[in-house]
Amino acid sequence: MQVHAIPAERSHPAPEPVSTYRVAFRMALTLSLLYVDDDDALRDLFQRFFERSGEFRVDTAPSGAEALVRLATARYDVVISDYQMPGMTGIELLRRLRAEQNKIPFIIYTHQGMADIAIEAINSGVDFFVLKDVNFPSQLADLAQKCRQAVRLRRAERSLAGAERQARIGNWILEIDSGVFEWSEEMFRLFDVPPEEEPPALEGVLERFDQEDQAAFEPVRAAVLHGQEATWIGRIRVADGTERFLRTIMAPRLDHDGTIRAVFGTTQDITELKIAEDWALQYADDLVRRNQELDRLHEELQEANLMLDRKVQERTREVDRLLRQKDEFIVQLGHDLRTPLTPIMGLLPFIRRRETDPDLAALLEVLIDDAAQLKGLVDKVLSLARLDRMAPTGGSDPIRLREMIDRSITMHRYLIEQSGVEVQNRVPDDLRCISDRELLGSIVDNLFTNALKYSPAGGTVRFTARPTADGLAIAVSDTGAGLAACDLERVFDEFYTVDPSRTRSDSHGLGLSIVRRLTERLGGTVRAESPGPGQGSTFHVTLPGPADTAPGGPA
Amino acid sequence: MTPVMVVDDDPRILLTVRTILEAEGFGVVTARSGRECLEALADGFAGLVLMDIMMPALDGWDTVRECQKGGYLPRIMIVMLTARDVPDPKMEGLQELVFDYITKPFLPDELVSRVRKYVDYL
Amino acid sequence: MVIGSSTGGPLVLEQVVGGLPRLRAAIVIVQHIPGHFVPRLRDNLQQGSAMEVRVATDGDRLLHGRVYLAPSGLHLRLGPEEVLELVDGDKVNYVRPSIDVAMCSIRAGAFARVAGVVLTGMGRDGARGLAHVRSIGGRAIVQDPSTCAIGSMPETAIAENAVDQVLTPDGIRAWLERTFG
Repeated sequence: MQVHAIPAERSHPAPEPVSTYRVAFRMALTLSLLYVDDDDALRDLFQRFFERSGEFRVDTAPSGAEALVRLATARYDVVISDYQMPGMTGIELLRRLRAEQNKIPFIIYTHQGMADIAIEAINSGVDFFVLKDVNFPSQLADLAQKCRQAVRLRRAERSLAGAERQARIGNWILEIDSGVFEWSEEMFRLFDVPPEEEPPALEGVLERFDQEDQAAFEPVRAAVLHGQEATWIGRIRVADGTERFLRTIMAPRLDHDGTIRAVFGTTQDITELKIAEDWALQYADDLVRRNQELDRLHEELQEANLMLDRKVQERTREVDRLLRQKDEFIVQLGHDLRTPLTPIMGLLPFIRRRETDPDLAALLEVLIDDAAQLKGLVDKVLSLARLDRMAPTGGSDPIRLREMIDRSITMHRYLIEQSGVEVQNRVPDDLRCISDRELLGSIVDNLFTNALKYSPAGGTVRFTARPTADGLAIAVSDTGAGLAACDLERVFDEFYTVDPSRTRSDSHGLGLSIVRRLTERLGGTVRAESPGPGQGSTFHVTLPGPADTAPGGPA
Repeated sequence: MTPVMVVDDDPRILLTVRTILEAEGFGVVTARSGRECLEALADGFAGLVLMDIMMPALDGWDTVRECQKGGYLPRIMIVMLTARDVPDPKMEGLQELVFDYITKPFLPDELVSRVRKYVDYL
Repeated sequence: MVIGSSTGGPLVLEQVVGGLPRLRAAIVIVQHIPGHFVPRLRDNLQQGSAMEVRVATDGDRLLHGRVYLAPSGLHLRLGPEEVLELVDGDKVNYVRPSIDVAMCSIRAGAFARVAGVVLTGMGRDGARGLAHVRSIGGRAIVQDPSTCAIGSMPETAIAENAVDQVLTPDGIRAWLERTFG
């Protein structure tokens, strides 16, 4: 980007044609003017004529001293001053002001038209040097115009300075032969040089920079001297020890004959930019590193997942294998248990029938009984072992409960006759439910045989059932041994018998544990109820699932 | 009376069945293995065959298949005897070759009444 | 009504169908047994029965009061105009005749009342047939698996939710007499 510097030339005041001024520099306010002249009449005339335009507000001072007082106490936009005055010449006044850094637009208005005075005035920083004419009024317009121009110029200069300060850009001109700089205000700030001082020469400025940067400057210098525009970035160290990055864009200034006598350029403090750049790069680096880190973690995670999958599969296979082993074991066990039972159960009755000795016959009866118990036990143990494997199920068989119980009664006909117990099936004929046929059948069977075992001859076992809000409630009651309060829970434990002294081997204690497992499998509950030992007991089974007594059954 | 062959690797089972059935007047032949059973069939046995499933070497189902191959089926009725009470996948496809299935252990009365029914068909 | 059974069937069939009074139903029996026992089964079932028991032949018309026994080696189907067809074909569910084939050949609306019964047996023949019977508004019944020599055919049907009722052999017989008497 080419930066066109507006050189703060004091050597040639640049006259601007009125027509090029637009909105930017329009005078919004009246200008405040101080006219310094020892001639009273002239002062008076000046004031009247200038104020008549309405554009100016005029104060006067008879001397330089007085003018200084005025300038110290009020704000003026422009000073017009005579040259020849007692005490202080106009130029001396000008010099005093400039020495105080007062850049107020200053016009020398004098009779003294000698060149040396004019030159002195110019060198002192005057804006305009106007010779008094006899035709006073015609000059007034010109003076007014020059006032305006001077003010405009100052304003432009101030705007530029403000812009430069904001952007931290300074502009400069370098005279090649002498190595002398002309600096804008901002340049002083950039290089931490007090504004009252003269800017250092080129070599002095270069010395401020880092060695590396100085070395890098040489090719830049060469390029510019060859007529090219160039950019150079260098670091200087400032008073508080920090680094400051300065970017300089410069271009040669060609004379009318093509020789390069000066270079002009702009220098900008890009330290903040640099910092932001560095920070962004750092951030980008960080991000890259983090991404790599994430990628790595991602890979690790994937590997971990794969490993986990493999482990799960292994474990599943293992579990399957164990389950299958267990199944095979159970089958084998069943076979092994039942095989020896076959001759026992097959031959004992055979022998019994041929035994004529009543004592021996009675002994054989006992053995036959035991064999039947053993078979029952084997069946129960095997079904219990299989239960572990069964998935929880609600079952979806339509069941007529009364029928199921009737079937159970039929199957246990022998047992019923033997025990002398009356069995009542009070389940309503039209009660249907949806459940698992096998499991429910097993529950009913086991509760039934349990009730039979613990009922004395002449006792009663009764079945009842009814639908509930969310399922089915079945009750099996007996008039038998009953249960103590402490046994109500424990009676469902495996191998638990209420009275261990009982030698009835048919109470092996598994039936109720099977009932509990099965009801749990179906999502239901079972509990025992009893008024006390000897007063019978009732077992309540609740099962979830549709049940009702409507004809046609639950949907 | 119809001859009955019992096939089982367990001599106690052979003893049990023979004792029970001979007392009822049946003529009982025993075979300790599938091989012996096939040999007996080759020798001309015709009648009821009570076959154990779980036998070493040639199990019950394999023996049934061999019976089919040997063309012995028309003159015999096969009833499987087993302690297994779960479905046997090896049975698939052989349903039409056997007549019934008895689970061990059994009471002698059960065995006798069923055998009587079987020979009724022969 | 189609009754299907497999291993252990003949004895149960005697219990269920043997000695029936004359019923207003045509009973078709599909039984997986060695073929040379079929005539004997027919004899045993006929004994004391008021129903006419015969081994089915191709083209037999279905009439009330009769029991038709499927011969072995061919599939049995209920064709149009209430006529029995015996067809050759691949084994279905490893058996021929197949209970599924027989039951699935019952067309909806062809008969006033339809029922399918599956008794003891190994395998899964009959489960699909019962589902079909149910789907056309008929009654699907299986023998209680705990009373079966081998319970897997009834169990399969139950597991596939194709069953209306589970009955003992006595229960099935009672139902027959009640429903079609």
